[in-house]
Amino acid sequence: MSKVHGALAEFANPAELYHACEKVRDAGYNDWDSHSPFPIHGIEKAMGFAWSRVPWFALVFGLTGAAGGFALQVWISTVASPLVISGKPLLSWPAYVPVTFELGIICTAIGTLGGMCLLNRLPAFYHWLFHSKRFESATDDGFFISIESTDSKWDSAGTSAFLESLGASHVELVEG
Amino acid sequence: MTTKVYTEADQLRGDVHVRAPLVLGGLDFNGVTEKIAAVIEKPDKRWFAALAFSLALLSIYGVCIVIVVWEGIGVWGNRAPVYWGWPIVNFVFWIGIGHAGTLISAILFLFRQKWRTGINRSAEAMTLFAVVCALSFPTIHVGRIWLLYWFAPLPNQMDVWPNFRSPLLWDFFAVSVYGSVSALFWFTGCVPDFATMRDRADTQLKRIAYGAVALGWRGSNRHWHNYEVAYLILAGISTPLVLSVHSIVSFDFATSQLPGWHTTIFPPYFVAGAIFSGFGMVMTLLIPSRKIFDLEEIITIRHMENMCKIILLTGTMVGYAYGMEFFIAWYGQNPYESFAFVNRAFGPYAWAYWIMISCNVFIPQVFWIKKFRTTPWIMFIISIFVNIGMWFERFVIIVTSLTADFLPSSWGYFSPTIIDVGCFVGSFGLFGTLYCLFVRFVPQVSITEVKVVMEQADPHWEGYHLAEEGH
Amino acid sequence: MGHRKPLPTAEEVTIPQGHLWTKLPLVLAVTGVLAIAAGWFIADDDHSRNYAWLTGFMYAGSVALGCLFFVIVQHASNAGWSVVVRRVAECAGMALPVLLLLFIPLYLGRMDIWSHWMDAHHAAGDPIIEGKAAFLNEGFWTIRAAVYFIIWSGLGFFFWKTSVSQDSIADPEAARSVTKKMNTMAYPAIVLFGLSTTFAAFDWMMSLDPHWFSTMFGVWFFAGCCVSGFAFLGVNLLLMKKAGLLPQVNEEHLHDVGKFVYAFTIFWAYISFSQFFLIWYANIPEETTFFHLRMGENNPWQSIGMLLMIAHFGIPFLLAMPRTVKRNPSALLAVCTYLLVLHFFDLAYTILPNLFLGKHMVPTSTIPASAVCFAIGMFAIVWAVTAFMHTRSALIPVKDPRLSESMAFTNF
Repeated sequence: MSKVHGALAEFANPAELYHACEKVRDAGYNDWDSHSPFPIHGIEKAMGFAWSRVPWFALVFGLTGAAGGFALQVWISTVASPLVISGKPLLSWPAYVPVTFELGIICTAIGTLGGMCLLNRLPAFYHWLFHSKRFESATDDGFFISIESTDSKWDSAGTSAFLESLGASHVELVEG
Repeated sequence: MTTKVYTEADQLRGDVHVRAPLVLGGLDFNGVTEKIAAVIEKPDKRWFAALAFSLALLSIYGVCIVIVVWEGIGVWGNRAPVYWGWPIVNFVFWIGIGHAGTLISAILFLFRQKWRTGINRSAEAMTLFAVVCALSFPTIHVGRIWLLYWFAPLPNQMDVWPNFRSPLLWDFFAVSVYGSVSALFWFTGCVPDFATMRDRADTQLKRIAYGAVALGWRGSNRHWHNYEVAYLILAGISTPLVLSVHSIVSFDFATSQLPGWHTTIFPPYFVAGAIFSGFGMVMTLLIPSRKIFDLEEIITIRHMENMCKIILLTGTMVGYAYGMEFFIAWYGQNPYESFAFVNRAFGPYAWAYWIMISCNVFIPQVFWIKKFRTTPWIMFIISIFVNIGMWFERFVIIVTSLTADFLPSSWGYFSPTIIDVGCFVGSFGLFGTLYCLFVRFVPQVSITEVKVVMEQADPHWEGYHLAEEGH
Repeated sequence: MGHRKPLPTAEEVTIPQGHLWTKLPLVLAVTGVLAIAAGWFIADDDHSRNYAWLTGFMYAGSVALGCLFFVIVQHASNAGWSVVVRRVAECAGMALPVLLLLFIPLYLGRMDIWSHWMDAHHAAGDPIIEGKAAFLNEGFWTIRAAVYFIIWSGLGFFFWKTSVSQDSIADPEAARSVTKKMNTMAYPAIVLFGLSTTFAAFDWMMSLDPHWFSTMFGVWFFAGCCVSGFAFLGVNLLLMKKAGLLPQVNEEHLHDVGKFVYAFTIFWAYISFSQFFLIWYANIPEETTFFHLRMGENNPWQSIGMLLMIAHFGIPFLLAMPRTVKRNPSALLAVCTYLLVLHFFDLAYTILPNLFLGKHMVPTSTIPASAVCFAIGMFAIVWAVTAFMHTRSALIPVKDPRLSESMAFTNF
């Protein structure tokens, strides 16, 4: 039993996609997306979504990593294994800077990528768009807009006609 | 709407006012995909030859490692007074090479140097493999490799924890973090390209394999936005990371009191040297491979020229550091320090010192001349000199200072053994094997990022307006 | 870019007659002279006055040198984004010849400031100082100082003059060759700049304690020049914008200037920390003398050292991290001004403790007070020259072939 998941419209180039996105945004759709083989400059304005929240993940993870790394070294050097080495005080903080820094960096990296994957809901090995054969060119030279059937403004015929009116070279309803 | 077909001549004529094109031959988006994917999909015979050669070298390394682990590290030439011989030289040599990749990915990204897109993927891969080679040396150098976990801050049966005031422990953290972050950075960059390979796959196996690593990427612009911000942050943190790693490697030497090792300029000097050697290795690899894999329209002569300029700049910075060390050794009027430097330049290792100076400081100066920056075979030869020079730099620093320190009665002369040579030569086999596998299975130029720097990628590109207006 | 903005003409970006900015040079010059006079009279004696003057001189000099380096780097890297902000920095390079005037009191006071080695009476019997007499001697030192001023004034004048001469060239091809000429000149300029600032730092600051040495010292001074010079550029741009000038400079350009300031603040911290760290760790007596003068329980410099670490690195590192800060004019102005203030402490920490080297002096509050006055005064003089040069030409190199690229540029 196949179900219509949404509509997929193809555009010729980044410029057409950009202008079409502005119109979809203005038409008030919510559950929609655009797809291109590479990031298009300024498209967040054309699509009307807010600046990414990834930096917050980076900041929180980074500070936690650095603070935790420093605390670990202080604890090991003063409590767990207090040894006087090269005549330095047990809590010789300058010596802890390199490892603190490195642990801050690795945690930032993990936080950044983890945050990116979380916000993007990736990995996602199934997506309804993969039913479309034509969609394969989205990673080569195809520029697409997809509107999901869950959108409150969805109406199979109307949405397809709307997409065609934006200058799409091809519009299909994706089933599967 | 027509796209101009640019040629190499257009680039060489390139002037300050016109941004020389980065993709030649009139390739469109699909053309770029085809060109880069073809390398993977249609293997070249020369690739098999390169892999066979690398595997042969790798087996030498394998044999040597078995001997070292079985017999102990006495099979190397490390003797009093030089307990840090070739293995540490090789470690610093490889980790230095491993700096160009992340530099190209991160620093050039932050500086908006668009030409990086042609070379960053292979340079990052090279970084990873160089870090693997680098890590292999301290790993076997500890002798009892089954006790390697003592590096980790884990409680153990003797209730002894690692010493966090030891530069060698910092090194362990720095290099592991560097390897991990570089791998994450590299993988992130690969994800959209893996999706391209998934969507082009002609067999089910390829489809599943590339599909698994592509994480279900579907080119969504909502995803691209988070992806780009994440990439920017990774670039931002990788920049100080690159600086920190070789600085920490330099601390291995500079925190000591040994003449010739303890000097405050070591951190930036090592970083400059690392970038220098890394770019040398990138050139050594890319000049033949752009030819073999027919990528001259994507890794263009302009990419090569820019790399030559960076080699010239960093080579000159290294020269500045050599000069500063020498000057301050005299200015400081510490007899041990002065002796260490005079001994380097005119003592028993003068031959190594002058190889280092010639290869690192004098020879790269030819890149002041444009002709030399744009002729591939000349660049190739010079890049080899850079590699040689940077190996000798580490040799000079490590060995000359250790052979003649404060106590003349324990001075000596270092001679490597056949196992030393085998390990060093063999490590190139490890590097080569990994690199060969990389070019066979991963797009060696970023398909995505090359498209971004093409003028058609800009939705506000003039060509589109002209088309709309009916020209 | 498609939506090409019309390029400004030279008239449009020239400061109009009677504009507030045209009065700035005079106001600053008067302020400068008054502050210098105040510093002069505050100082208790010649010795502390000389050191305070040196602090002020290095402060003002590093600001102008940082701007010169900014210009050189933009040409060497053939940068497109920076065209609209470059002229403002070029004008600051023209303050370098004026520094020669401010150097005169140092030259006259040289026997006092660098007495440890320049004065044969002092140096006699000290084998270390006698050993380096081939470099540290009055004649060679004077020649070197002359060379530095020739290099700096020459570079500052060259990049300003060539760029201004381009403004009146109508033929695009001829304008292009002028840009090409500056691009070519930038490469040797980097080498000259690097060597001259390094040795100037050795001659004028490191040799205050002639026993002490650090190979990193030149790099430390260079980092300070960049932080303060780029912050000075930022302050100028932001104030000009607030005064209604330079509408072509938008938040994208400010973001980039902010990134430069931010990056070099981190670089400065990296260099300063590494220098301290290696000396602290190895703990070799001939090097630790530097920190002996500056650290210890009852030493007032101890707290300045902590201040530098926290306030010159920690606070700006966290504050200026978000992109919104670098893109907000008022926030960026605050960051740049703040770093300019902190840069003074960095130089004072390096220079002033040497007052007490081998001398039994009582630290008084008049020493830092006169150093602050001199720094403000000489900074005002440098700024006055810069602002005066702003009124002498267009504020943007209007015939630079990359101008349209610069105006259309956006950050990611």
